[in-house]
Amino acid sequence: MPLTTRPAEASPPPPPAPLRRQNWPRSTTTRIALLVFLAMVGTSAIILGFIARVTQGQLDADARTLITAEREAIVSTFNRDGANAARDVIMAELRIPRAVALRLEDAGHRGIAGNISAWPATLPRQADFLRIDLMRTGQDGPEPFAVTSHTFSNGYRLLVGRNLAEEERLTATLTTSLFAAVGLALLLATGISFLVTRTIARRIETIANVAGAVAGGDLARRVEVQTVGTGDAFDRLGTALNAMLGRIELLLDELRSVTDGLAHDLRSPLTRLKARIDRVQRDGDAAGTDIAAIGAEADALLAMLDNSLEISRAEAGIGRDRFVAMDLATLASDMVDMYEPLAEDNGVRLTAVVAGPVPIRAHRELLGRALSNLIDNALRYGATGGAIEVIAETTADGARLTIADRGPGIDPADRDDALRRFGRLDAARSARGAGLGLALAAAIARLHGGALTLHGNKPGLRVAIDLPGREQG
Amino acid sequence: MTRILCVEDDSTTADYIAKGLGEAGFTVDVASDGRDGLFRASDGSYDAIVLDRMLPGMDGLSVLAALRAGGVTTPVIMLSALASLDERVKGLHGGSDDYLGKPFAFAELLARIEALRRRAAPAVTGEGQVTRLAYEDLEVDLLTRRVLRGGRRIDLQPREFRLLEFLLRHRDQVVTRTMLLEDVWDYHFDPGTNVIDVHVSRLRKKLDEGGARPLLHTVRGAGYRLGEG
Repeated sequence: MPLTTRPAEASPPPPPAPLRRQNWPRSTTTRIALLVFLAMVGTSAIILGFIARVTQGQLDADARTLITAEREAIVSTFNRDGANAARDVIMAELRIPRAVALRLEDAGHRGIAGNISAWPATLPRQADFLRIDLMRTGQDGPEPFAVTSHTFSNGYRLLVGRNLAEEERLTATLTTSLFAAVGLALLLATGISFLVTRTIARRIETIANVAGAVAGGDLARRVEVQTVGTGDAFDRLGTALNAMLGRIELLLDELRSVTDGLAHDLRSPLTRLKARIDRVQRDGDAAGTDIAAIGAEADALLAMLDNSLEISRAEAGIGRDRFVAMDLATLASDMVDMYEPLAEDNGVRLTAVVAGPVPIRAHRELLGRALSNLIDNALRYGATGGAIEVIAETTADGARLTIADRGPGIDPADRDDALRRFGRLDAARSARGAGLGLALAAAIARLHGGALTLHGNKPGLRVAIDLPGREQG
Repeated sequence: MTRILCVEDDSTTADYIAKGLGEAGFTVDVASDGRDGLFRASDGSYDAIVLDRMLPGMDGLSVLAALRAGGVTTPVIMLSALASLDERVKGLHGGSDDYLGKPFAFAELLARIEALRRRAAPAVTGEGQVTRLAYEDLEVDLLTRRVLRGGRRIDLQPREFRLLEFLLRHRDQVVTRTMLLEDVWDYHFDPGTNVIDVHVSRLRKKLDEGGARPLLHTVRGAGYRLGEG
């Protein structure tokens, strides 16, 4: 019987690239900080533009209202009382020192009244609102004015303006202070971005360092997590990573114990096997008894290997996707039916104790295998009691499967040992890996979210598998 | 002449299978990788294919999928070191007719190939729904579940009845313990002890009671056979 094994392609994973500090400025966090900074600059620019527009619009509206009112007053005086009356109004207006510009001229463009020496070339005959620079008499230079004009039916023209120097100073002050505020805000944003980036980078680096250390072989390293308070995303990441690392370490330990246990357990049957082969080689084996024994020994080894692999698969949670709704009572009856003739031949009364359907969600094959192992164990070690019961029942939390024998039982102090994968209570019970049967049943119980426990049966052993009910499962 | 294609990359295993099947009277061709296997099997001229699951180049499941997609219905028995229950289900869902975990006893492989070959050629009796099975002086009515041996009524437990039915349907073939466990009990693990043997010996006792010619034989190192001694 050839054992075909394929050499595992065990090329070690490439070592993790070390985090290089000089790469940080181009790192993701820095890019995020830069993005935040740019977003803030953009937002500030939009807000500033908006404020400028609104302020300018409001100032313009105020100036327009004022000059329109002034113009209408003079125009109505002109129309009612004539040019001289209008001139008097203008003269009176100009006596009050205000920032106004006025000019009334006749059809021949000769000035009648006002403080503007000539009609500005850029101003049309009839303008509602215009911003131009005007030079008032007695002033050193042109000043910005909001201007409106009117042409009378007899060709006379009127100009009314209002100095905008005051408003422009206000706008300038406003702009300056806004820019200053934005500048300060940006400075603050830069600082905060830098701090945030550094904090994030540090925390990520801490986690990355732990991952790197674990990859490098230090399996015990864990991310430091603040257990109280914050519980922010980084803490959650750290917790999740720690849970993963814990699981990996557990599985590795498990694997190590499997390998160690296998090596230990396989050694003696392999030695016996080799001794028998040597004898056959030396003396020949006419009767074939040694050959048969070699075959049996090999079968036992294979069964042990098979059980061990199945335990590892169950421990790794493989098979959960094949859970189906089933009846535990039927399974118990089926298995009792399967083993009953064998039990009877061994002088044991094997009975199934079921009161009705016990609905569960389970992997039928695996649970069947677990029960088969337990009945097999009971027949092997508890047969002296003469009776074995397999009980399937519904409990408050779900379902329970019990295999109870009346044999010698297991001493309470030894029960933990019995459940360990390669724990074997009696070195003489070496045949067919008895320890594995119980350990496999326990692993299958855990796969189902349940537990296998050992109890006394006064006398005898009760093995109980508690399974979650169908709703929870 | 029954032709078998064995697709197996491990030369020791391939030789072992080819030699054993050759001694059993089959003509065996060996392909050492998936592509070659697919190429040879694609004309459907073989009576059965023994296909390794893990092959270089193209794995067994892909070869199987390609064959079935190409309309080749040759019975396939898949061999795999991935012998766990779930892998087995995957293989059977992939279209294989049977699945055997490595390492295996040659007798097991042989018995399964025989069973596959006969299943593929159902024209032995020609009837549709079988309601009666008979062998020599043994008569079984599948509807009334009555069993007669030389006119004498034999009372069987339901499980014993199904066991007998399976053996009768595979008369003159070797059936292994695992085949019985899979078909009669619908479990795919090895219960380890001689659980099945006890069932069979009970059935044998009931059948052969009264001194008639023994019908149910033990085939050493393989399993059982119902038929000529």
